Amino acid sequence: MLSQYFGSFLLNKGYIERDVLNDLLSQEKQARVKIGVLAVSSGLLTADQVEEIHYIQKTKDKRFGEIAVERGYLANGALETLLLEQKSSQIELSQLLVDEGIVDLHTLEKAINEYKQESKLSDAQFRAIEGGNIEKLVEAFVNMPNSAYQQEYIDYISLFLRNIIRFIDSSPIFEVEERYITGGDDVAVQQNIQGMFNLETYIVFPVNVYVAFAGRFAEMRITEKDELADASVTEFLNLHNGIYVVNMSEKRKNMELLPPKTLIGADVNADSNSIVCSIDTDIGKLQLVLTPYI
Amino acid sequence: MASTKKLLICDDSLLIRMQLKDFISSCNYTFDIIEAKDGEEAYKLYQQEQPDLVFLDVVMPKLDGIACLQLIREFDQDAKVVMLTSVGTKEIVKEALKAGAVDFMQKPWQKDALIHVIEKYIPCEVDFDA
Repeated sequence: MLSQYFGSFLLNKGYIERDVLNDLLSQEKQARVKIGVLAVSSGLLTADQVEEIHYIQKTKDKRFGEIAVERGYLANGALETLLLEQKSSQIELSQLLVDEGIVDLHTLEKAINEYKQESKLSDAQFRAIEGGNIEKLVEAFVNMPNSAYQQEYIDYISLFLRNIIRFIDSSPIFEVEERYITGGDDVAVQQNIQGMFNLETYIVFPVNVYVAFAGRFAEMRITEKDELADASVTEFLNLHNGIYVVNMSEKRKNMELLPPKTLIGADVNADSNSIVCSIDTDIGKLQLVLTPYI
Repeated sequence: MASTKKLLICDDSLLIRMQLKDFISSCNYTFDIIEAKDGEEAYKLYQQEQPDLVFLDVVMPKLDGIACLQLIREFDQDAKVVMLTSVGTKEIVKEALKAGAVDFMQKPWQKDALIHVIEKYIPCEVDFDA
């Protein structure tokens, strides 16, 4: 996840061209070893167990290793070995940058220091994000509104990123926007959550990205914005919000969902209290907009 | 010969209705599958058709799944209603079971679990010649 964010920083600072970054991120993605594959190839889990864990991951917001240990399929020690093995087999973006001769070591060091400074990341935060801690990344980059529910916002956005990774694209680039800007042909889905605090949640897309997103989530061929495309995108938001409400309920925070709906980008209710994040995926860019209401 | 069993799928999402219907048909079950897109429609269809099994979403427009379940159970104490939802909080599970749901499934549904539920409540409805 850090790779995507750091990559975006390098792009904005002119260290690297977009095509080169996309190429490197795609190389990094291909080289990434899935823990399930490692577990099967080392004989620690069966394919059926891995499939079962993948299914549970779609309904519960838990990591692969956490579920494997809970189910008694893996001992803690075996999980640690697998995680170490996974980490050692990863090629990081910074490694690729140097290997491909795009930057030398000194430039890389300078860029990393600049990145830490500009994003006001402490060394501990930097290491946490590097270790895949999405919450830390969201906490460091998102300017939370002056609200009593900051942790709930962090949890919401972190879960959203994990669900994008689970269902849509394993390497999204996440950015925080100053404010909501909509293009002429943008379409959106909305679902309200109410309870301990009330939140309007929106995902906004250009129409071509909406259609591609619908097809990716439904695992079906969808070629235009029709009833099926609407059903697929609203179901993604409904599923995501459902998991969020379950997570909140486990912390004894009661919330409920209202039915989702579709609308046009211009009708999205965004104000100075809204949080706007853009997520760039391999099928295009979408925006997550969160607007609290009374 | 026994009459064809009926299955009612109620979900406001066309995608979910389509995926369930396609999967159930692909398993060679010989049910009549009827669909509703909200709780009101599901209750009306239940009264007309009295299906053998119902898959019912919780978060829906017009009439939500729990309120619909209560109406169906008032109409038919033996109704077999399985809740199928993305909001599997303990509170909703308890509420649904208290209102008379026979089972509870979390979305996205798993093929094996769906077959298990169908066969538990509507045994032996596979057409082996299909």
